Amino acid sequence: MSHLSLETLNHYLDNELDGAERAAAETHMATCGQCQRQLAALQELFLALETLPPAPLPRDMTAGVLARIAPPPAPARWTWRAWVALAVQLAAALILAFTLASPAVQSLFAVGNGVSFDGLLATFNGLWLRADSWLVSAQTVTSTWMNQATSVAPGPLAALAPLQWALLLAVTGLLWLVGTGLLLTPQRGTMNAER
Amino acid sequence: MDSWAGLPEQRLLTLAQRGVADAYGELVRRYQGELYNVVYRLLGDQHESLDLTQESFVQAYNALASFDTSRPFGPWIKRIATNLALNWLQRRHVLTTPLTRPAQPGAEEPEELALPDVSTEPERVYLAGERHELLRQALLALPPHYRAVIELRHFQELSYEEIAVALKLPLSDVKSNLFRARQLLRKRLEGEV
Ligand SMILES: [Zn+2]
Repeated sequence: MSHLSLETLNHYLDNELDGAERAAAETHMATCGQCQRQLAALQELFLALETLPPAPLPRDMTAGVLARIAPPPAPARWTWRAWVALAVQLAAALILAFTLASPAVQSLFAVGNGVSFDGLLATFNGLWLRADSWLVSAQTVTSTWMNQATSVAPGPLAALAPLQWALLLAVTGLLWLVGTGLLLTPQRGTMNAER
Repeated sequence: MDSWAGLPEQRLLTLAQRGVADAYGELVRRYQGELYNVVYRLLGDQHESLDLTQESFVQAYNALASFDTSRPFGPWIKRIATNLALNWLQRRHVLTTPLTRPAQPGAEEPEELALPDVSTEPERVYLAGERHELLRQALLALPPHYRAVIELRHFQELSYEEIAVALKLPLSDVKSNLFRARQLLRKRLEGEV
């Protein structure tokens, strides 16, 4: 009887022989020292591989993986948008204020001064009272800026009429809302990405 | 965080799929040791193995949406790591193979001579006499495609058929590679090489 092939020995240890093949292999090995030794040598390799201890992990990599899968929500982009919104707001308020403070516009208001402007003023004041906290914030921002502007150019700005102030605040509030919309855009984007 | 440690794997996977990064962090914590060893057995280099292990976790996270969370995470991520390591080995093999082969008539198959340079790592020299270290060196001395079948059969316990699917090889090639790889390992461990 011929010896077991290398393939048969491998199949035997891999449990890839069917019942009859396995029985035949065992019958042969029971009386064949050479095949027994071949099988034992192969088995020794199996055992060596099975008992190879794991190498120690050199360092914990949890933080490294987390840093790559969950980057902080785009701070650079946020800052960029915030600064643009703020700049647009301040520039618009600045232009508006100086336009209203200019002698030409002052004279226009002076000419048209009367009942209609008082009515307008009342409407603006009503709106103002109903405005929410956003507009209050806008007022704070604008007042702060106006105080600075006043210190630079006290003459014309100090002479602003109440109506002009109301107009200035209303337009600034509007710009502020636009600016806020700009600021909220990346936040909405982030929330969508999470879903 | 300790609160994650008590959660079953399936729950962590579901949370990770919803974008809860810390849940995935716990999976990383649980599997990093095993995964590092998969890659380390294939590459034999600590730094490369750390890099590729991390890369495997990142790629698995990016593919997590398509993962069936009722299946165990371990075999799946090990498959990802194995593929990455084998691709890496292939690239490294191409990069380190000289363009002009020195004319040596009767020389052995060049790929079987492609022993990685491990002499510069002091811990290896120190442990060189040990049996386990001999086995590691013998594994690393195998050509990459032999190393791959040994890894998948003996360490990841895949069947012949599963190895054929994983390596995209005919079943007959899987068997001949595996049996040949075992013979090479035996020879090396018995001091014949
Ligand atoms: Zn025999």
